[in-house]
Amino acid sequence: MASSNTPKPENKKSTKKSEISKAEKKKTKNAEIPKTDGKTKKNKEISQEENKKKIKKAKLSNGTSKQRDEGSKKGVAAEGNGEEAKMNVFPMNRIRTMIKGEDPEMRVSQEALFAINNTVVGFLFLASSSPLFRCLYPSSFSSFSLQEKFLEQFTQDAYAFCAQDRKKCLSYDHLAHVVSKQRRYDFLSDFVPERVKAEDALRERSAAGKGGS
Amino acid sequence: MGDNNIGKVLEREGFKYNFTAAASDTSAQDEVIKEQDRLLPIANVGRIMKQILPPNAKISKEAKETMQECVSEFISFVTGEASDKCHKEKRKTVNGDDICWALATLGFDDYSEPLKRYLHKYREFEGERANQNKGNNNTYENNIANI
Repeated sequence: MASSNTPKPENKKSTKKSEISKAEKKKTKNAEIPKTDGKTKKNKEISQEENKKKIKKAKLSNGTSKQRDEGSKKGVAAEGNGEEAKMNVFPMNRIRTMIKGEDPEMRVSQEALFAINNTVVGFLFLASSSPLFRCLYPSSFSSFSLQEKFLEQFTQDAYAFCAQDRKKCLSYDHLAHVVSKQRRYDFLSDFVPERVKAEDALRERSAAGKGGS
Repeated sequence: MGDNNIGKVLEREGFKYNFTAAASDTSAQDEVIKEQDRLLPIANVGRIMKQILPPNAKISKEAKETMQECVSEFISFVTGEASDKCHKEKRKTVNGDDICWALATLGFDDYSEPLKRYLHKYREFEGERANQNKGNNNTYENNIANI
């Protein structure tokens, strides 16, 4: 009874969150639909249904799955559903869209999307890590713990700065510190620069201007 | 028989979709990638950040938004490296091993090793699912990989 009761509030929360994402996805889909042919419309309709199902049921699904597969999924035990729900933290189509932005002609296998999805989870853990927690993946992937390796090295980073400031809220400055002080985050330096006062920025700007002239 | 037909139809649809995507205009693709699609959902990002922090820690919205940008850049960073490798080897499809290789090349060795284990278990999992679905999914993915 206790185990069965636990997932219900999660479902409610997930439905609330999914409503927001539904609205966003509907906007994008409406923009996309009129430009496609009838044949591709069918494909996108299928993908839309899949997206909706993902939002509602938060289950693992391949592009080829249909109602029969869903029926078999429904039969899966609650634990299985929980595991499947946890496997995909981010929407697969969103990740695919972001990758297409990098190189429109690139083709990405479903396997690669899963790999990136989980790598991003580890990346988030790394960037907001804490020595007090070590999260493991569901039991079917219990041997996979992306956090184990880097937590040993980086658990102190962001939260350490947070603790130094004696603040409860992890804020931009702590993230900027991590990025500026570790080489492996150099590729993020353009996105998370250290804060600078406007006066100093203007001085540097005027100095650069003088140098130019 | 019905299952085989369904699989074939799905394969055809997959091919057509790929062809259409390849043939689409650059301007259309630019329009498709919108601001809201450029980032991962902030709720998911915040939830993962919460998992790793102590229970009394709070995360400002600014931190979550910054992390959205970091994650997007991270995906582009890794995917670009994997894409370059595929171009050199004259392959068109990026797969999980390419992602592992890119992570190792870019200095994220501690990501690459666990991810290899994950891919191994993922393939086992998919193998079981393929058996349950009478091989439809497996055939579909194999065809995509072969393209």
